[in-house]
Amino acid sequence: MWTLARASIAHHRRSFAGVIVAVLLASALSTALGVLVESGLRGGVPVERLAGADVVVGAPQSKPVPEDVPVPFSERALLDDDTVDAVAAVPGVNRAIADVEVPLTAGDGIKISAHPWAAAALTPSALTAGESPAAADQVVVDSSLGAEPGDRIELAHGGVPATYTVSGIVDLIGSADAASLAYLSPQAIGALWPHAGSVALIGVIADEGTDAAALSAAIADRVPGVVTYVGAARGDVESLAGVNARTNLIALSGSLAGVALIIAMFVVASTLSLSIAQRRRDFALLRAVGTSPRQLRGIIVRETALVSTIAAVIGALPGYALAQLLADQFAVGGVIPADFALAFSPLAGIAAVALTVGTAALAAIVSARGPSKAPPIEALVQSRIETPQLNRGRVITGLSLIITGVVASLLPLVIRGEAALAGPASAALLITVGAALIGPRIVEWSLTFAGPVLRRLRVAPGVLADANARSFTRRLSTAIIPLALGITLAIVQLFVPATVSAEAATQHAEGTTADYIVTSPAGGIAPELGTQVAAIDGVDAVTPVIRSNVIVATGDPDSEFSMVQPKPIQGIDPAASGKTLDLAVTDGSLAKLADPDTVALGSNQAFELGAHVGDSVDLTLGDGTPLTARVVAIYDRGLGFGAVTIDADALRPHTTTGLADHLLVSGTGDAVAGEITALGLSLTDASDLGAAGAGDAAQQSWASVIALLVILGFIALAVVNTLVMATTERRDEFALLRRLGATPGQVTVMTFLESGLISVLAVVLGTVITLPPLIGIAFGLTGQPIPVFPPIVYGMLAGSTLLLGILSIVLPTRSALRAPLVSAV
Amino acid sequence: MTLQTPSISPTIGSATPPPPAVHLENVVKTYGSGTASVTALAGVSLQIPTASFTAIMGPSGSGKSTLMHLAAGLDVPTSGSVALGSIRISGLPERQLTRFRRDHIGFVFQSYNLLPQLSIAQNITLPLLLGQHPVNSAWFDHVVQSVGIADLVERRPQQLSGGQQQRAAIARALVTRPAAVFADEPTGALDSRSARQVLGQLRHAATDLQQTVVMVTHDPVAASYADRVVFLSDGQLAGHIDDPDIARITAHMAQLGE
Ligand SMILES: Nc1ncnc2c1ncn2[C@@H]1O[C@H](COP(=O)(O)OP(=O)(O)O)[C@@H](O)[C@H]1O
Ligand SMILES: [Mg+2]
Repeated sequence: MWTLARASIAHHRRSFAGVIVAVLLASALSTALGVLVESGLRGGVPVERLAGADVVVGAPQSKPVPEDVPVPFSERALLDDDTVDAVAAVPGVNRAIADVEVPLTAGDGIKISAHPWAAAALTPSALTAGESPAAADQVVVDSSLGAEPGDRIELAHGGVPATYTVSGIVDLIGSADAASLAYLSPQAIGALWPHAGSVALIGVIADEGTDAAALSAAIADRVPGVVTYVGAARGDVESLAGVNARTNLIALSGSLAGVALIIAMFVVASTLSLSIAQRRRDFALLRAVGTSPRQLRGIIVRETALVSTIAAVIGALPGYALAQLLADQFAVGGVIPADFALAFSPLAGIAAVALTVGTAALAAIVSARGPSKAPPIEALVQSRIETPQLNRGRVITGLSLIITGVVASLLPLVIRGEAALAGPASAALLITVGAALIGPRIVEWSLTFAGPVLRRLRVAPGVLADANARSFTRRLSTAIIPLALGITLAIVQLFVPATVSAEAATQHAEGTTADYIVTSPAGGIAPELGTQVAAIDGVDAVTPVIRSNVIVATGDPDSEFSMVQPKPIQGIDPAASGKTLDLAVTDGSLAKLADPDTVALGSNQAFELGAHVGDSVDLTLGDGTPLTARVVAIYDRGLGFGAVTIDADALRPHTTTGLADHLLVSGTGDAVAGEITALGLSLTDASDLGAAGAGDAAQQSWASVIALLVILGFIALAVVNTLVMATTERRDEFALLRRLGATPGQVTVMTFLESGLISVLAVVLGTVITLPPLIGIAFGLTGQPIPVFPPIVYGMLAGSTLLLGILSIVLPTRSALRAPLVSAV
Repeated sequence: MTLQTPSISPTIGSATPPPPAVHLENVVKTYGSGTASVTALAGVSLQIPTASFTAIMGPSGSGKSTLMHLAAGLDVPTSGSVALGSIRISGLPERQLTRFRRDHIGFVFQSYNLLPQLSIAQNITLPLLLGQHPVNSAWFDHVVQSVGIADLVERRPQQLSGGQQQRAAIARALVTRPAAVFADEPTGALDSRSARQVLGQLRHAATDLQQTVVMVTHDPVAASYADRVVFLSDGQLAGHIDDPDIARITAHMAQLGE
């Protein structure tokens, strides 16, 4: 049997080449995604600044979610001062060093991370010149700043500059791209650190000969409410970026890996069934000479297993490289830090090989059913058109999927909030799978429009193209569906965020009624700058805007529909809100935010929580502090300003830096703008500033675009592969036409028309499929059923689909036409 | 088995005799090159008169198909010349050759003659469509009736028996009123009754429609329908028999070693 399989592979090189290409690509893609998923669980940034600590102690930095990955806190969770002594008291601890972190900016905009001088012991470094900072105006900086002891340098905190004298220089050992470091005296750093009574972390230097892991366990055991980190895990606590990167990777994998895997498996299965269909006559011949259906199935499955295992193993290797390539691109987009290390293990490759080979084998078993049961007489039939009949079950399933998808798309008409958006998002996939099932029907139906046009051309290629399309609806639909799927996927992935961010930007621009939006070149704005701006003549109202995240749990936590998600929150000055912001309050009043423990909710958020004015809601602030607050207002512009609004003074202690993101200033008089800029601040407008969460959203969508490009690339290659396979098989047909006097040009025009039909149908179908979900989403977000279709992106998508479809049919036609006329006689 | 008398069409109003329908002059065809080269035809000269039915016979591998491909302009000779009527096709560029084939040559192959995606009527008129020529419906009706498939023209090829398919292929070969119809083993895949019908159609085309027919076969029964049988052996002509009968053909073939 193996001999037969080998001979058959040799004879159908082209067909098998197609299967090999599909399996190889699918395996590479699955491996790459597997690596990213695994890195979402186990990857991280290497420890640098805290590499000198044996154990690092921090507060819990994420909210556990039952049966799901924990949701990380976006701000640094703090430890009480007393914890330092408690840690120091654990046997085996030589020193417990409290560490805090304050962002400073040097005059030329260089970002510097400031720490207490004691924390220098946690960093592999040496004081190479000068001495430690003793006075409040002294600083030790690392050598990357190029300063000398005795130099006077200006360092700004939240836009407030202060002049320091450099007392010493440290040389960092072995950390190439760490941020610049500065060490201040205890009194100086204490004045800047906004969380008196708390520390960010505790670095532990162990007694000589004490095992770090054992010490870590001992500390966790003795000191309640702390998390300890040793070894590589210290990177996770050193900067929150590593943890955020993992969350981003998981989010990304969640939204794309599933779709990508489905597509990869779909491609493998459809390529395989195409290849088996192409060899139908061989199989019939085998049956005619006495092969039993069972033996034939055995042959088919065995050769598939052989070919796809080899291809999948070969494909897994470039998959690892692809994962690194993707990670590099994510780093460029800022989704993960540049030094984020992927978790490479054989697991991803093994899983990918198992998955692709399994899919191929399963597809072989299913596709082999037809030929193995077909009567041997088929071998004598020269050629046949495909049976246009689709089995009833397939039609019914397809239609039900499409209907379900359309209904799910309309969910936002009935309910609101993000729960409703989940419906349309998965609807596109349902509709596509449904369309794939009844693809041949859709092709037939669309030919009732396209056919007359082709026939009206009254030239041979038009008539032939129409006849071919009519007779080979399956062949057409195998080509159309993946192309349409690519378009659908791209539209949903690109245009849903576009619709969301367009609406957020509109809300933000319309809701910002202040005369000036003030930002600091240094990044954050310290509270005293707000006071200074308020004191300017002609200024009536100033509110700082602090942007952070809040973790909101919606739904019954025991049910499947519960969600624990970070949402944007803004902190404002309730007294100034009336003159600077119009959040489109529908109930209650923002001025009431001045009362303790109160919040205002965006209307979608209120809907999701089932909360009304006067109700009490439970939230988790960015640093993990739980907050039970009374709802005092509900507003419509939640997408533009954040799902939750709170008093800035209540939010500030729960942010790492304690700095405001920007100031909103209302005032009259020509001098106001000049005086604001004189304070070292800049003026900007609402569109430059962007809506709440727009930055995160842009990073996320950049990552999605990268991942999307990879998936689209895969689809493109798979489509080219299938089309080339299908066209190459038509040599006999082309040769017959040529013998009967068709010129190569006529044959090419015929396939050009067919490919044009395929591509146009794919674009139309792919677009139409996305309309119900996009309309649903647009309605849910804006109350208007008008989705955003960026014309250039859409034009590029449609154009490249057309080009791809046409080239991958016309080029192989040209090459098939080079075959001699009589070879098939 | 009836042996029919050849009916040669009279030449009309011309002093010089008309050129033969097919004229091969010292045709050589070599496949491949170097040590691997195969000489399929080693200098064949042959004239086939207009409105005659000629069978080409010979052992397998003797060059029959090659001869037909060259005569029909499907392939080009390594040397020598091929003319159809007054046109020398062996030097024509590919575009003109394609056009010539479409308008002046009809084909019937052993198998895969018809496109499954087209109806029988569309298959038959395909050469006209490709050449942008109008369909003469009287001639079309006449042709499909004379080959006996008038009731089947709306069907698809796969709904026809093998014999019916071959007759549709003959109808297609005749519909352009070509200079010559070439058939390569047209009955090779048919049962004897269907084969008889197909051979009858070819005979009828020559006799009643004044059509030049050239048929490659290795079957003495099939060859016996022709006006003349030309024998090939090892790429060279090996005699011919006019007004052949099965016994003489079989005897000649035995001489050639088959
Ligand atoms: N395309 C080709 N390439 C190489 N050799 C060929 C080709 N076609 C035919 N031949 C060789 O030329 C000789 C004549 O072939 P052919 O004309 O098909 O013979 P027949 O039809 O009489 O069986 C044979 O030896 C055959 O192997
Ligand atoms: Mg032959």
